[in-house]
Amino acid sequence: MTLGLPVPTWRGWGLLLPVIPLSLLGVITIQAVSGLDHTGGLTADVKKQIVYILVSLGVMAVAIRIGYYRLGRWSYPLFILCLVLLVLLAFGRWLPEWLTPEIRRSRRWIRIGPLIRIQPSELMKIAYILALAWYLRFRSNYRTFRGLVAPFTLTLIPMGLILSQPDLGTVLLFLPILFVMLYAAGAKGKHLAVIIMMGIFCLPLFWLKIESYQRLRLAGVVLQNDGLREYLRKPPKYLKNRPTRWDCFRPSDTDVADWQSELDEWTVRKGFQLMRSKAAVGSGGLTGRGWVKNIFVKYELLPEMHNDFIFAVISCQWGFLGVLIVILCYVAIVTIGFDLATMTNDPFGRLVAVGLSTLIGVQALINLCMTVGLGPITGVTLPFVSQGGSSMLSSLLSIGLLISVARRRPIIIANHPFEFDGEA
Amino acid sequence: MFERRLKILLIILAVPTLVLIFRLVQLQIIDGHIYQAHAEQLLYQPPRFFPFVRGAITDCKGIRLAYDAPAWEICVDYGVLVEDEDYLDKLEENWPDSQELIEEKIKESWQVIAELTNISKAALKLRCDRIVNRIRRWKEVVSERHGREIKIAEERVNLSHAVVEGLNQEQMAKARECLAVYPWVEVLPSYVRKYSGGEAVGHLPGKLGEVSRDDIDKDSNADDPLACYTLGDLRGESGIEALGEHWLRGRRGLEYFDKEGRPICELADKEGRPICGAVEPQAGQTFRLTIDLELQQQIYERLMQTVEDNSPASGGTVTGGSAVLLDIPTRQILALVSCPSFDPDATKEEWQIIQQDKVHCPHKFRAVREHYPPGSTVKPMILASALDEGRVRPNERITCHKYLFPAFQDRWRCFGYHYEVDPITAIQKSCNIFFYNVGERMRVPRLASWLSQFGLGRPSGIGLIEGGFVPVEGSRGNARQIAIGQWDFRVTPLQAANMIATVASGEYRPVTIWADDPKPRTANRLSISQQYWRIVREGMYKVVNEPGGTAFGRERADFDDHPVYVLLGKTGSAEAPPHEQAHAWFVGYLAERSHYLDDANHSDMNVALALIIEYGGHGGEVAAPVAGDMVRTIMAHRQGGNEKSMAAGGRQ
Repeated sequence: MTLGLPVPTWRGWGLLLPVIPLSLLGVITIQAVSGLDHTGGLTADVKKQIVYILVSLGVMAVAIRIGYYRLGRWSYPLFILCLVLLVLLAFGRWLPEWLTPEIRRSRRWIRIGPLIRIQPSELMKIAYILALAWYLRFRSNYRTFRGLVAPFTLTLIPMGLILSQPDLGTVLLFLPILFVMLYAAGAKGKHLAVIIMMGIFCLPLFWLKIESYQRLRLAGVVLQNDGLREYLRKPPKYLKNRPTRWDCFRPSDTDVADWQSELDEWTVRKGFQLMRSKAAVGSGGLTGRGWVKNIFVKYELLPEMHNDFIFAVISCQWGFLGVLIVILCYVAIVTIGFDLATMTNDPFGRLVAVGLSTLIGVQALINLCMTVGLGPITGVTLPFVSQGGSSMLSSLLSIGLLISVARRRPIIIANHPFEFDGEA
Repeated sequence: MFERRLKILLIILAVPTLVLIFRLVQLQIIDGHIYQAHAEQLLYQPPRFFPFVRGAITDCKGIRLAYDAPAWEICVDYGVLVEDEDYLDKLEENWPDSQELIEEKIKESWQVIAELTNISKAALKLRCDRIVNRIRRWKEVVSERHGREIKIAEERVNLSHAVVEGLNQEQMAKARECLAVYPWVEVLPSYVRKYSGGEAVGHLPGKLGEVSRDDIDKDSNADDPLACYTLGDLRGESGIEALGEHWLRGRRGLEYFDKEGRPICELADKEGRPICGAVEPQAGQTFRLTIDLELQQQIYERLMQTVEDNSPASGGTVTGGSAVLLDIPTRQILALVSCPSFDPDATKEEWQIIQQDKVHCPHKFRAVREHYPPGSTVKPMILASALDEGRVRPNERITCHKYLFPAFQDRWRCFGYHYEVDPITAIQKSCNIFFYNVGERMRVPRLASWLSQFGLGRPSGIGLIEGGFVPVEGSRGNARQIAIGQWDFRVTPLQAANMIATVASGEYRPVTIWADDPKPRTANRLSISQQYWRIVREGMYKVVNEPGGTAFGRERADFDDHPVYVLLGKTGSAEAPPHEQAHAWFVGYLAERSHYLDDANHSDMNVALALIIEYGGHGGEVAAPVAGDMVRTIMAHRQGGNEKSMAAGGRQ
């Protein structure tokens, strides 16, 4: 048990150091991607993005002004509000189309008025972190196995709702945040390890439960290997009734020829995005092709260039060196976030800081892995960089909350929370 | 503990970050060149081909009989034809604000096309199905050839296929205006084949048809990507279009650039030289015929007049006729007339009506495809060969009492009592009894070998599909019948014309209809000596020019008083059981009066004529007057032509 020392409250502003270059990078990349037809001037997309940033900055300022702690008192109602919105989306197909429009086979947005569309799952990420931190702050029962039931329930409900949209990418964020926050709060490592093992054993169940197109998307991580595809194309050695090894994985409701063509045309169909994004990343080389000049931007060879795959455009334009700077920015955000967590001794502030910096870090990691073919292709945006209001809003709101954690003077007389070193 | 745990967490998070960085090093630095090459491939654009102009078919003076006229066609993207979902989604992005579904927009565009072209929507649907089926079939063929499923170029969703063809300028302007809002419909320039020769040339130009799999397999240009047949190409299916296919066919144009505008050199021509970037389309060459359109029209009109006057509808028996004119020195076909005929530019509906006429059968190409028993027209040839073989002596006389065997009066008859008949009179009066004897002496195999020397029973050299048949075995009775041109013995009017040209010149030569025919057509001089030819020609002279000849007289050929030229000929009345009436034949040629017994292959005026009037009756009574008129036409035409060409600097 140590006494905290007075720490300067301005350190939270250091977070803006990586955030500002990332946002600017996003703006100029969007300009490169969408500004092909015009000569000079900002395009409509860029203007929109700047508006998003300004609005989000305003929201961030308000969040700093209110302070995370006062917001924390509202964390349960906020969480429930977001849950209601998600339930609304889950029943979206019975609601009017103007309220919950179906876009690319999933319902993720709720339309409020003619201009504003919000994505409840983006808000849910923050509401969830606040609620979980609020739940964990004064307890220690999660150090028992039974005590873990409540936090897991708190996580699985929004996860299930978001999965039903379906939005696999956002779902993938929740579990790392939960584990990181629990671990930081002092849950026992062996308990978490047991749960992770159990989760791994449940993976086959998960595999059986998802749709075949989602399976193919997950399988893309390994199918990008030419050698493996060639191997699967050959008939199996011992099972004589199968035309190819690939056929073994065929879902029962799929035609043999259709399934075969999924593999044969993988590079132009299911794997098309991945192949293109790898080509874009790879062709950047060490120093990149320069702003606007690369062919992927010129001929729109990449899908979702200003959104999910914006990192591919960045790495094509500025090469390995540019990419390294982007990664360093995220590393800086996570380390500064964690550093802020250690500076306060308010248990709620600590968990919020850990949760929010993990959220940004993991989200960036998932997006980057997807772009380079290390992870499945999901609709996770790159925080601060990708185009989109909801994403920008939730990212800058996280930063605002982090700054607000740093601004709150530590309660010097209090015990440092989550120190269970002496206990069994 | 909290700080320690955060450090552990940072280390855990650092692991995937390091993996990510390593992956980036691998992608961008180690394997960078591979992905750069891959990115280059993304710039690839498939080649665009442009249609060529098919060569024209002209008559000997350069008047066009068939040509490609500019036209426009309405093309629709393949993605819309097969209703490819992804493609429709992409199209839908053109109307971001519209609540209307893309399916309805497409329906609307079909409606507009149907209204513009007056083709029903069902018919349009049928056309689309045909295009899609054709492409699917072709895909199967290609896949079969490669042993695995191949994605062919025609399957590209954004490639458009012609649904409506042959729009004129006005329709094109209207279509462009009305269809501009639908990005999947294009109005593109193309060509449409026009046939301007009229009924007189009827069957001659033939037809174009879509290439079959067989054509593609046997294509001699298969290794030239710009000249080879591809799916949906048109090729000559019949007539001159088929005969001159290689000559008429041009070479497609090409635009093959990547997205950056750099030429792609993946294609290679026959010699293996790469074809890069842009290639202008090459028009096909003009196919010049030896036919003279003016002469052909005059001959056709004269023959048509007789056919119409004696058709079953006007109380006669004639169902059709044919006339062939040959230039004897060169064996070029000057006119190739089949009667009745049709307009070669007929539409499909008109063509169906033409095919329904089962009495006159206008679709039959009588001059080349149809064969008839030659009747007495073969007698000069039989006589010449028998004289050469020594089976008949030049001064031999055979008695004709109308019947070969008085006991069997219904068979082996002659037209009259000719009494003592020498070879010349036998020709002049067309005595059957004389030739029964000749045939019996020659026997079928000898006769067949001689007939073949005169070009009967084998291709004439024109290059089109021909009829005609000569038996090679048979009894004595058969031999007798062959000698008077009956039994299973068939010739086409073209073969008959060449036969008489052979008699006129003493040498056989394949005929041609192509003015620039590069094939050597060497003359084959027959072994028959000049004195025998003289006997035969004397007989043919007397047929037209002396009393007692089957074509002599004002009511018959009426061509015995020209001061410079003389017509030698032979009539024929070929029995065609079960029909009561015989086919009326006349074959003959023009020679100079001063030396009409010599070989007639020197002058322009040496023209051979074969004329048949189906079920016309007696050759002398029916065919000879028509032939006389035709010969006068020929003379007027050739003399006029000579004067014109003399004025223009003489004949080449």
